[in-house]
Formats: sequence, C-alpha cells, structure tokens
Amino acid sequence: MATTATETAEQDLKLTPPDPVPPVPAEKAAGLVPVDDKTRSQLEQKVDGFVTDLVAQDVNSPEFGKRVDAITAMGQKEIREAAGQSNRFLDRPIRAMDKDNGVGANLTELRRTIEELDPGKHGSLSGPRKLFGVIPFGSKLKSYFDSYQSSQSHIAAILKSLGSGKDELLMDNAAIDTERANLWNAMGRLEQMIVLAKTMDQRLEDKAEELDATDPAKAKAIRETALFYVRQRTQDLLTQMAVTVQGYLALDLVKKNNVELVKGVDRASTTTVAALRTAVTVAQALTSQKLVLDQITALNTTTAGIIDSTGKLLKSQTAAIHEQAAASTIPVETLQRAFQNIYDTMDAIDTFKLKALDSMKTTVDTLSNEVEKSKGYIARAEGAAQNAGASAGNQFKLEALNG
Amino acid sequence: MTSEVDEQIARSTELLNRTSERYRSLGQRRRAAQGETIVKRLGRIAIADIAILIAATVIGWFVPLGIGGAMLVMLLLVVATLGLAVFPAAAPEIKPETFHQTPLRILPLKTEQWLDRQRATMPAQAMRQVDGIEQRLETLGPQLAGLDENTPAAGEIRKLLADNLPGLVESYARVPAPLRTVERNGKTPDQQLADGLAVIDREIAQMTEQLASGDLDLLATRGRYLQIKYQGDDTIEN
Repeated sequence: MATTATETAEQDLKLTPPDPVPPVPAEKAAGLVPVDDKTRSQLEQKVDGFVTDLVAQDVNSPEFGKRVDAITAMGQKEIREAAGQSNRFLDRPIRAMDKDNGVGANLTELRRTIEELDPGKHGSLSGPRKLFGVIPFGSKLKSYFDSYQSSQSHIAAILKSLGSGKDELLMDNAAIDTERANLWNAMGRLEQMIVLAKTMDQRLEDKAEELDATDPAKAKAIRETALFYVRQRTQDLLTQMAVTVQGYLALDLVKKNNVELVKGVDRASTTTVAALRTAVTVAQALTSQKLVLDQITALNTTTAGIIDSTGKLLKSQTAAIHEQAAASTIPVETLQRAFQNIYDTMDAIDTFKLKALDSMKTTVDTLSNEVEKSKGYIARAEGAAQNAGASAGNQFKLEALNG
Repeated sequence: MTSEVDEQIARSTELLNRTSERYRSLGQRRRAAQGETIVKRLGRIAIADIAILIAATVIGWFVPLGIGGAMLVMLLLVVATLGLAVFPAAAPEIKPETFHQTPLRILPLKTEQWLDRQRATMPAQAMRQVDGIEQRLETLGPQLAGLDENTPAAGEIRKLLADNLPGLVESYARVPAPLRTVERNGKTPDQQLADGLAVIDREIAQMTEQLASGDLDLLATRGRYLQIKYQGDDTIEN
C-alpha cells in the first residue's frame, strides 16, 4: 500500500496515563520541602527562648499552663490552612474523572460524523449510482464526495468546540498550577512547624534530663505535659504533611492527564482535517470535481498560528497525500488510510482515558482515605485552640515565619 | 552635616506626616458625611418652599389670596424653612444591638461609625488601634458586597463585627474609670482592651486576606493560562 508516509506520521501519538499516586507515609513526609538555614536558625532561636521561658516558670502557676497551652495549639493555624486546601484538591481529580461531557462528548460526535463519511461504509464507489438499485442515477463517487460538502459545517462546529474544550483543559491546568503554588507554600509552613516541633522535642528532652538531678518534680512535669503535647503535635503535623504532599502529587496527576488529553484533542483535529484534505485531493484525482471545503480550510488557517506544531505536521502530511493521491492507482485507499488515522487517534484517546481513569480512581481513593484519617486530629487541633483561647495564643504563639 | 537635632526633626516630621495622613482620611470622610447631610437638608427645604409657592399660585387662580393670604404664605415659608433646618435631628445614635439586622454589606461601615464614637472614652494606645481597625474595616467593606449572607465566612465576620468587637469595647466602658488603670491578675483593663483590639485587628486583616485569596488565585490562574496557551507550557514552572 502506498500509505507509509501517512502511517509513520501518525505513529508517534502515544498517550501515557500517569501512574497513580501512592500513599505517602507520615515518616517520609518531612523533609520534602526545604527549609533554608536562616529560617531554621530563627526557628531554633524561637524554641530556645520558649523553652528557657517555660523552665523558668513555676510548674503549678497559670503562666506555666499558658505556655503548655501554646504547645497544644502549636501549628494549628498551619494545619487548618493545609487541611482547608486538601478538602479542595480532592474535588479536582473527582471532577476530572467525570468530565466526559466536554471533550469526550465532542470526540464521540466527531467519530459519528466521520463514520458517515468513511469510504469503507459506502461499499464500492465505482460504477454508476442506481435509483432503487435499478435505474442509473448519476455517479456514486460524485454523490459520495457531495456528502462532504453537506457535513463540513457540522465538522467545523465540532472542531471548534473541541478547540474550546482544549482551552478549558488548559485553564484547568493553569488553575492547578496556582493551587500547587499555594500548596507548596502551605507545605513550606508545615515543614517549618515540623522543624520547630522536632527542635522543641530535643530541647525539652535535654532540659528534662538536666533537671532530673536538681529538680525532679519539674523534670517530671515537663515530660508529662510539655513533651507529651509536643510529640502529639509532631505526629499531627507529619500526618497533615503526608496528606498535603499526596494532594500535591494528585494535582500533578490531573495536570498530566489534561496535557495528554490536549495532545489527543490536537491530534484528533489534525487527523480530521488531514482526512478532509485527502478527500479534496482524491476527489480531484478521481472525478476531476473540485471539492470546496471552505469552512474547514478557514478553520485551519485561523487556528494554524495557535497550534503551530499541528500546522507543521499538517503541511508535510498534505504534501505526502498529494503525491500519493496523484501517483497512486488506488486513491480511495489513501482516503481510507486517512480515516483509519482518525480512528487510531480516537482509539488511543479512549484507551488512555480508561487507564487514566483507573489511576485517578486509585489516587482519589487513597487520598480520601488519608484526608478522612486527618480529620480526627484536625478536630483535636481545633479543640485545643478553643481551650487555649485567645488569651494564651497571642503571647506565646508558635507559628511559622512568613516569607 | 546633619546634627542629631536635624535627624530628630526629620524623624518627627516623617511621623507627623504619616499620622496626619491617617487622620486625614477619617476627617475627610466625616466632613464629607456632614456636607452630604447639609445638602440633603437644603434640598428638602427647597422642595417644601417650592411646593408651598406652587400651591399658593394654584389657589390664587381660583380665589384671590389678598394681603392676608400673602402673609399666610410668607409665614408658611418661614415655618417650613426653619422646621426642616432643625428636624429631623442628626442621624440617630448607632446601637450595636441593631447590628444583627444590618445587612452584611454595610455592617463594616456601621461598626466603624459606632467605633468612632467610642474612641473618646478610650486610652491613647487603644485610640491608635481603633484607627487601625477603622482602616481595615474600610478595606473590608467593599469585599463583602458579593458575599452570600449564609456562608460560614459571612457568619464569622458578623460575629466579630456585631458581637465580639462591641462586646469588648462595651465591657471596657462599663469598668469605672479609676479602676481602668489598676492591675488585676497581672493586667490592667487598659491593657486587656489593647490586647483584645490587637486580636480583632489581626482577625479582620486575616478575613480580608482570606476573602481576597479567591480573587488572587483567579488572577494568577488567568495569567498562567495566557502563558500556557500562547507561550507554551514549561516556560516557568511554579
């Protein structure tokens, strides 16, 4: 078959669904977002000041209690912030899963319309057309190419909505980028709090050991209240960090899916336009009729600047088609091949979507599991914050640094 | 060569400029509000007087008014002018109890007006804080225009502006003046007021930030979209 050129041009479409995001264990969540040395030393200073201050207080005084309250509320703001975002980033993969009404519906419609034009579906195109199968009535081939003219406005409309569907996907990706930037920020602050909590743990432990000899009662109080709460909060912070990291990766997955889908949409449009152009050439070669597909051509020229790579691909393809159609003794098969390309593209998209849906489902399941788990300690953090109240909170607030 | 005195003068001038700028906005608004009520009053007087004159003319077409009638018209004009100049009295005092019925849109404005009247009873430090809160409320006001009354965010704002802020100021006002500077449990009431106001100030700032975050995100998204679509992806990551 003289179709190798078109075939090879189409071979490179490979839509790879990204792998599902695995659950991130809490122990591994820390350290993924770097905290620079300056911030780290500032946090350490903060902890040192706090611990010295705490140890100086009488264990039974309300002042000691206030400082312990500050520990229980430690990182509560950061956790709440990150949790608020984690509730939102769960929506996005879910929405991505049932987004079959936009691009998906357009692709289905395109396939239906293209199938109607498929030369394979029209049986033998040679010979005269016969009314009721008996009376000769014009040429079969001519009426076949006429059907292009009647469906061109429909195809142009579908291609246009595919274009706007693609824009939606791009917009989605832009929103994901913004969300990821916000999440990165939130993770940076969580990480700071984790550094702070871990330093606090270390310092309190040292202090308690030091006090064991001189003031065992105080050492006991520090271990039982302050240190206990610090460890509890460290665990909470680590768990929230794990959930947030997972959400961050899940957003990346949605983004990659969208990128692949955009590729698919681009390719579907390109192959469709290529098939129509082939039809124009073939029609000229076979029936010497000039098939005028103005709307398709117009569509192609207006979008050519925007989808540059597509435009280039089209140009080289069209040249090849011209050559083949002119040289080949069986131009209808060239046309058949062009249609096959469209089907291949659409099949690739369908397979991709199926696999991507699987990855997405796994990701959403693990993520909602983690989010569900994290709800428990978020409630605990809120409770602690309410107990601590505004009185203790603002003076000894243990918060991440801005910037 | 600049001496220490020069530096001090420069610093003081800078401080004066800064503070006067802050007061100017409040003063301007107060003056503007006054100007507005005067214009309104004058308008009402003009409408009443014109109505009386038209009525007199119409009656004059059918029944001759005579000297007595003319005098009566004059008297009516004087009474209407004076009456409308005095009544209705200046805007009624704002009561925080009514804040719950105030639409959220104008709640910051009402709270601000109310707070402005309470300023006089407060210590100097609290006055400065109140100025800050008033400025924040001014920013918050327009942000609430599109906010649905039933969202949790709206509830939080209403609670802060209609309950917590007036509650704090009123309970401070109820403390007898001589006791306000006396320390109790480690803090004077003056300090407690200042602490409370600081918390409220921070909360309002945070609300403004939170309300704006959606718009900020949208702006960032739009910018990124343009980048992805027209410049290709991967030019800038994050």
